Amino acid sequence: MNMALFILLGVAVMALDTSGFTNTYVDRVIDLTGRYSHSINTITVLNHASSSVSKYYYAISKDNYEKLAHIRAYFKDEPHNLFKIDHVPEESTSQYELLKITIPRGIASKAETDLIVEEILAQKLEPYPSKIGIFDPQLLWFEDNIHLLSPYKTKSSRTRVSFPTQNIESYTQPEDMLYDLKGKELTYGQYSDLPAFANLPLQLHFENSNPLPYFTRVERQIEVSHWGNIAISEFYNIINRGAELKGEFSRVDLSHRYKSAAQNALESLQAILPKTSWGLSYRDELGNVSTSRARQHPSYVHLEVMPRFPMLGGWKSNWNIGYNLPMKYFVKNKGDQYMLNTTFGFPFKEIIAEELIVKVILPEGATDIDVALPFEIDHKHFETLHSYLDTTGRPVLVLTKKNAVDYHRKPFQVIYKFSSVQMMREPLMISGIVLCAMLLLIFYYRFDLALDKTLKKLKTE
Amino acid sequence: MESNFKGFIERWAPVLRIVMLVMICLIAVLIRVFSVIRFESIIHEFDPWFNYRTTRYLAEKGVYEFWNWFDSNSWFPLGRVIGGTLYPGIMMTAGALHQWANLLTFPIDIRNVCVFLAPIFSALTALACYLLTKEVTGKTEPSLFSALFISIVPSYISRSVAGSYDYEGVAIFALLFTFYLWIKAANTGSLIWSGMASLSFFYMAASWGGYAFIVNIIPIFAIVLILIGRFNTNTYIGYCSFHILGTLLAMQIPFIGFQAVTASEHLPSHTVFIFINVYYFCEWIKEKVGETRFNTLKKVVLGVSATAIVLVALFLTLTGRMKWTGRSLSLLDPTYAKKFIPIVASVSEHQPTTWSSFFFDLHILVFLAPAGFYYCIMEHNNGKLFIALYGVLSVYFASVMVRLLLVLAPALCILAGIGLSETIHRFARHIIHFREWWDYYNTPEEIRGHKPKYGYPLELSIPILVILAISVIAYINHCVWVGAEAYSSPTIIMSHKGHDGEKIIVDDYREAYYWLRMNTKPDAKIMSWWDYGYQITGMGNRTVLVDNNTWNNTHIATVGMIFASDDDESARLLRKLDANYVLVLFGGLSYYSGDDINKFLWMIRIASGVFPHIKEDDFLNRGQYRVDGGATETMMKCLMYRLSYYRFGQVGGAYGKAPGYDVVRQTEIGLKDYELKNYREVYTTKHWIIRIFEILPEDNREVARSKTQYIKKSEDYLLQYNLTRSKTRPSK
Repeated sequence: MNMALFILLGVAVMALDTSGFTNTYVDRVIDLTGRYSHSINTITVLNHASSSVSKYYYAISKDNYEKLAHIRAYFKDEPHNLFKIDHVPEESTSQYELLKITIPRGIASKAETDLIVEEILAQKLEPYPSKIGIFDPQLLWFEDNIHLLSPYKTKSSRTRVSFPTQNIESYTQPEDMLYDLKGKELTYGQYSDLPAFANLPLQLHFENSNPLPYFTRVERQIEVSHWGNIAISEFYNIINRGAELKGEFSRVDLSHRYKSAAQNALESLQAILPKTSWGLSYRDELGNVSTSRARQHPSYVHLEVMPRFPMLGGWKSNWNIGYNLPMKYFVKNKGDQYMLNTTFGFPFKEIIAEELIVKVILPEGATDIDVALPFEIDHKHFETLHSYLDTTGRPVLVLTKKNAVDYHRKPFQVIYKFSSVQMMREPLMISGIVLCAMLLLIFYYRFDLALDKTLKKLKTE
Repeated sequence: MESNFKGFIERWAPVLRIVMLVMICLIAVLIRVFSVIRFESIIHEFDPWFNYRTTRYLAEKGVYEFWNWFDSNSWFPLGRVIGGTLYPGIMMTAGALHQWANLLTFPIDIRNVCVFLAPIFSALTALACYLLTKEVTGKTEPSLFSALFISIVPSYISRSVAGSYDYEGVAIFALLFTFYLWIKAANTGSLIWSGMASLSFFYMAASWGGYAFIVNIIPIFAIVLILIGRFNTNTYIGYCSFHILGTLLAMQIPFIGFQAVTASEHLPSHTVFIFINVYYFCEWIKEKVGETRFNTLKKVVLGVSATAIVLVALFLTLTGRMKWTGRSLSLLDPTYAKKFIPIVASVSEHQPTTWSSFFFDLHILVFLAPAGFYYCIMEHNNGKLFIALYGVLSVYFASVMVRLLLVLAPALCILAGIGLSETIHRFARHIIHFREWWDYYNTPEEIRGHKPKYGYPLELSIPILVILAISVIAYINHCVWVGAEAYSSPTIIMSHKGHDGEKIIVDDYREAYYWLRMNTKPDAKIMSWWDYGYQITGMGNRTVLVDNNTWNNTHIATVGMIFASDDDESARLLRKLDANYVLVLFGGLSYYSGDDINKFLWMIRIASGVFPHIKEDDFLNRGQYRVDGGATETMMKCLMYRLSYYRFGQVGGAYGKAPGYDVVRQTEIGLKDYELKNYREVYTTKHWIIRIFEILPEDNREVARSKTQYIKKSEDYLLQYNLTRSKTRPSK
């Protein structure tokens, strides 16, 4: 049985053509200073096959794959040209999942190229201990692999980890391997001649008192009115996944003069809105939240929102922000063909949204709706919304993306057809109704509807 | 020229009238939206939050679900049958408006419907008031005046600002409209008007407990008419058909049901109905049998019926079928509540009215109304007498309870409208006829004709008119000021000016309720004083033990007892009640005077009514209620004190005062350094106004010891053989 499995595994691995590439140098940087872990792997790839190869395989551990919020691959010298990444489930094993990076023009034979693969992992930073006192710093636990998990052989590699503070409780100190901790930076390596799937566990325990906020759900509604306005309202559900509070909450401690309390509490969030935005609102289910500040800068509007209460570890909240944009800067047209060009992602930085839903509400009568996105999304469908004075309803384009990060704050385009005659429909409808009402009134007053004229005569007398 | 002008006025009078009415309606709405402009579109105060919550439920789930709703979120563990314990009028109105707006392709948020319902209805009230005065006086001028008065009268504004989504908001409209239709019915003797009056009464009965006022005033009026000999067939038809239909319709409201027959509030109505019919029956017999024989008959019948009535009344009172509700009784006897039902007495709006609040809420109407009353009596017809009677009765009710100023306000508006318009009319005609008088005055005495009818000198007429104009302007100014400043605060949001003039918003209520909503388990049970029950269920969406629907005095007393008990005892009781959190209001840091420590004496009084071991004297030091060093030991040990002042002693005092200085009580608290044994502070708002504590689970060892028999047995065994146990054993 075991043998059979081995053979099968062997076959699976053998099925991959790993002979074509060698990683001549891997520079792995794991950034743990922020609210989530962000690793940038710079891989110098050498193709020693006789022809150009366009498929590069990339392995990722099971645990990381489950927590993978975002991954992107590109050549070092063209960071905007992203490569398509596909999951290859049939090649995956119980330890790792295999991804296939497709490089359209391929890597030429005998050529060396710098390929960068960036990974953002959600919930990889785990508070440990999971409950802390109000004055305690927050300690996080991080587990990964020191080496880059690669199906190819690696000539030499180095791994660097950066921490937010110098306070590091413990870190993996492998025997007969090189490592060096200097201040906030930990370096492993340089290692040479690693086999394929070289595995060396990395365990780090360090102080990071940042709040760990996650949007569990974000819904953005972009409502286009051809009377000149785009109304945007965004609904956020947020949770702070930092260490929970052990013991009592106290305002006395929170306002302590010398000690900083509840350091991992989320006090406020910053958003950058387009400079033409106006009519900002910050509300929740109970109405306006009075703790917000907005400032107009020459090139943007800076919005600072504070939740109703300081969000300690484990606490949840929700709110929505709304603002308006003038249509003329965001919608262009050529005859009846319109194009809306606006941002896909939400304006809060450095927070992972586990689910992002973008609803584009187009005016009633818009047809032939199409969308152009700079990246892939999970789901796209249409809905109908009945809003003010609608008869047939407004078409709503619903775009769903799991795990949205800063990268997804990119412009996208919605193209649709809309005839300007449609705009007059609602005013005409209202005028028509008023006209009918007036006519009815006129008829009512001018016509004598009484059956018994004598009674009326009696009454007037 | 003059006739031209007069003709012009006459031709345009209907248009002017409509324009003026429209403007009055606009004013009525606009003066009530200051709160939305100053703050936001939000539901105010306490009771409206319940109404809002139920309306949302109605809008989401439909009428039948609403009707059969058993609310498990309040009165834990008893729950509350919503459909049978509320007046559904306001919810149905808002729900219907919401649905119609949706049908007409206006998907308005239900919250906005609720917020703006009262202002819209106040415009309708102005119209109803116009119609009623018009029906009563037959003139337009007093009607317009009274419509203007009622659209801005502060007493009514206080109950109907945008966001004040309460019964009174629609009920005052229903009250006036019912009166109008009923007067119309009584004047014309028309069944259609009577039927419409009954329908309007049905709406009133569905909206507010104050419908009892209509039930009583109309029979009293009928009796008055009989006494002064103005009762006629028209009034008979109006009264009888209204009584039968109205009672039947009121019985359709589950909350009223058979109370419409059995409750004492309805008794006058039934009695008068029977009396009138007997009276007319007698008249008819008299007509048939002749005077002398009728007199003998009368003696017999009167004797028999008097005994019967006495017997029936005795029977009903003795068997307890005839009951007066506490609130009604406190209307008849103002000292009743104070003596017997502290829960009614503890509410500030149930206090007797002071003269200053009369003037503040009614202003110039207080002076104009007597003039109107005079004119109503002097040039009376049925309608005017009704208004006069309404005025007299409501003055009495308003003096007993502050909240009933609201019932007085429409009466005074109508009376003041009549008074003002009549006075102006009387003085203005002297100015119009001034020339006649001038001619008469200037002709030599010998050739003078007889003295003209209207002839006061101008220097008397004009100043009086000017004074009237100034007082009405003063009234309008006062009302606008009241609408903008006094009655526009939502009370759940407070704002004041900071040192640099910046508006500082104190939003602690919503902060705490939102925290509850987001960060407690959905089935968490929260104990607080009943004042905050509706808000916690409405804003926090969590279960409460008691709320503002104070139907179960024992349950409220239990909560009062828990607050008055010490740490261990209260925790024991709370665990029995399955409560998870305790919420207290504390204003000692931020000048919020309506906090729980100040209400605490009422809690003790209510608790001691049911649980005699709670004694008010234990909390008073020689009759004084103190929280400083002079507080009694019971006071310092009780849960309310412990929770309110928990760790407050560590807060630096304001303006150079010692730490733990309570700014509301103006004193330094007596007990500063203590720990809570069974409670854990889980949240306190920014200005400390709301503090939330979690009840800790019971200690494991304690449970094992008290609940299992064999451990107790082994304890006895150990004691018997003089065996010692570890020190951790609790001392009894």
